[in-house]
Amino acid sequence: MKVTSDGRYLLRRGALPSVPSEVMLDVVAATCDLAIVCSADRNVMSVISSPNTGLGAKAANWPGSKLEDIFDGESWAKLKDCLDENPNALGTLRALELNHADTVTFPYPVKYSLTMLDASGTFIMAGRDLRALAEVQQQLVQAQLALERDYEAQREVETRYRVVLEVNDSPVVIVSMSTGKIIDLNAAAAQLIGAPRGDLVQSPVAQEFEGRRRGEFMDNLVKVSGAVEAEPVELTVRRTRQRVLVRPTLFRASGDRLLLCRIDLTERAKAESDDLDVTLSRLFHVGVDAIVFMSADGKIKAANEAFLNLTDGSSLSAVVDRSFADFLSRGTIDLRVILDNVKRVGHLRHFATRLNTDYSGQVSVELSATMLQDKGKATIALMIRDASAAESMRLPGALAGNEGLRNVMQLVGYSTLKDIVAETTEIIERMCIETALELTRNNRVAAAELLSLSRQSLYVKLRKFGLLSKEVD
Amino acid sequence: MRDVGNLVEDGRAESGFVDLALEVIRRLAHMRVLGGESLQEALVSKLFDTVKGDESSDLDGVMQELRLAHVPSESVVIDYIPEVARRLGVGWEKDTISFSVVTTAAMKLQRLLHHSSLQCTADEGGGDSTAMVLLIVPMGEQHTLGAMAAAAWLRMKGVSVCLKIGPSPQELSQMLQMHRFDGIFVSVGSDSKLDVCTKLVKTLRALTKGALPIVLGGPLAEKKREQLLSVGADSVTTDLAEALAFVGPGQRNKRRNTG
Repeated sequence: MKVTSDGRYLLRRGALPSVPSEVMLDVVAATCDLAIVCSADRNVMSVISSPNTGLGAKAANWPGSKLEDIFDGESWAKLKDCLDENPNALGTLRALELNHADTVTFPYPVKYSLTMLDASGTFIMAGRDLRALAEVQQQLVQAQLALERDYEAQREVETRYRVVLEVNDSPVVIVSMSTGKIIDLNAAAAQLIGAPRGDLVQSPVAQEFEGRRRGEFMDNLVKVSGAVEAEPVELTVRRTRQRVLVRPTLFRASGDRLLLCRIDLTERAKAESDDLDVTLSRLFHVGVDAIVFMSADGKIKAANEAFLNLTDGSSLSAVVDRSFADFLSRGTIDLRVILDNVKRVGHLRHFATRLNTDYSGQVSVELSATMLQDKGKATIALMIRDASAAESMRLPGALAGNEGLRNVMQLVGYSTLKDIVAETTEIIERMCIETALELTRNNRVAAAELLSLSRQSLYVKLRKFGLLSKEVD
Repeated sequence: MRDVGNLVEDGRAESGFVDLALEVIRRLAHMRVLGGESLQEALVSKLFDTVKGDESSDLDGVMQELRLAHVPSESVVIDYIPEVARRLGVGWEKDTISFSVVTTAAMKLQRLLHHSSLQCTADEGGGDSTAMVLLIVPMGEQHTLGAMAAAAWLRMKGVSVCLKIGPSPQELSQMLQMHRFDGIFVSVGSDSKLDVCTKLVKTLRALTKGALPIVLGGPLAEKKREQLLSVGADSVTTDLAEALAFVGPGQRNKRRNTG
């Protein structure tokens, strides 16, 4: 007895006795569910089936048919590829999972092992009925489809819930009674507590208010939520030190008791808040740094006097509703950087650029941008500082500053040095070629000379960077 | 070549070189953040191996790796998931992956898709400026991954999508009476569903009285484009941007003016 490394031959080759064909038929019928013997021209010669499966009767009309006709299109393509790849190979080819054309009689796939029987190209396909596996797979598919339908329905309800929560002026926080953690809150609540929504979800609610231990805090809220005409609980927000009134409502959902807490500023805090509004408004109007509010697509919605001074703007009406890109020296490129960053992380700091002035001049500035969400509407606030004086005192090396360092940090650790250098080289090549073409007004011979490249090398690079087709367009 | 290293260090470099280096680094970082870089093969392979692995394979770990590599959710939806799905399809065609593994792998990709599109909140924006689309997976289709990925991509682009899987004619009739869509997308995956698709398009034409554009997409739009063109839809494409341009708000205004 000998076993090969892939476990195929348990008997020594040549040790199999000569078997009469009738007995061989029995062996085939006993070892597989369905076997198809085919001629070299891919016609079905005979079908052998295991008596236990009942497949024999279903395949009774296959002998004499073209092999192509008994399989569905995709399966035939697979089978044909396999046969074409191995025209003269003797022995067993790989196994294939195939579907039959007659989906009423054969709704399930059959796994066929192909064995070339002789040099004339006659082959046998020994099949295993995958009905049991396919039935489980179908159940999985149906379960997945049901899940997807539920997910879509839930998505619609979720959208309604989120819109209702966000348009609500009143800050609302939902707290789990069992964990004491914040389950959800709206933007107004996040603003009142003084932290981004993402930081507050799943954080203990008690730690956001001063002088309250978790147990005492929750007990107090539950007591109030049960009373018919109870006074709201007065608390101090830890981060902003504002005095607030909390009105809790207890409800149950999915096996947890939840508290819906509506939060309001106390009368005194409201007065203080009004004072802050007035001060902020004064800062906007008389502040020395430019302040601009723009919509999520970069259109200026409000700007202060300092911005008009910085850009030599004649009046506010000449600025409002214009794209902020009009004022940036690199136009939409800079605007995209600003918008992408604030949309991704909520803010952008120390962004150095130049602003165009109305008299074709440019001024160096450093700006910061902050995303403000109000009732689901996004506004981006920009604080812009004239950096021309500071820039003139700076050494060139210091230009790397925070922005440069931040950009490098986004690359190091995520890519190999080799990749960074290779891609950096490509960008430099492209920038230089674009500049050379611009300087020579698209004269490629002159551009190649400027870059000390042969014309052919320049063409190769133009094609590589997609600059050739662009010009043709 | 000049060595500018020392000059940069002590701040004596001509600012041109330093500015160039900084601009290049800025652009490279920007490309990474925006996913401008092509697919990262190591991540695709890892995702592929993970989804076709056993139940215990670490999908959460791969999701974390995608985050750490700054792969944006949009890229996961439109680049990574379709590429892995394509490789699964090739594996099935070549019989290196069984249909049962393809099914469970597709389910894991659905999970990743839901996770990646969790933050898309196109429907909250409201307004009249973006399209509203009915996306249908015809009755009897086995896989919905492609349609779900298309829905996620459209939502990321601000389109309000109503996805219906195997809806009945009654359900469609009710939907079209109650909603004001700009167009209908049908995702066709299997060529054995061509008849179903033809009937569906006829039903949709009758229900909308031909007023809404119907676009056919999905795997079959690539493989059997000619056959699908004869089904009676207004357009057949696998390019979602092209499909969207066909039903966008501009087209809506055109229809209003001509209607």
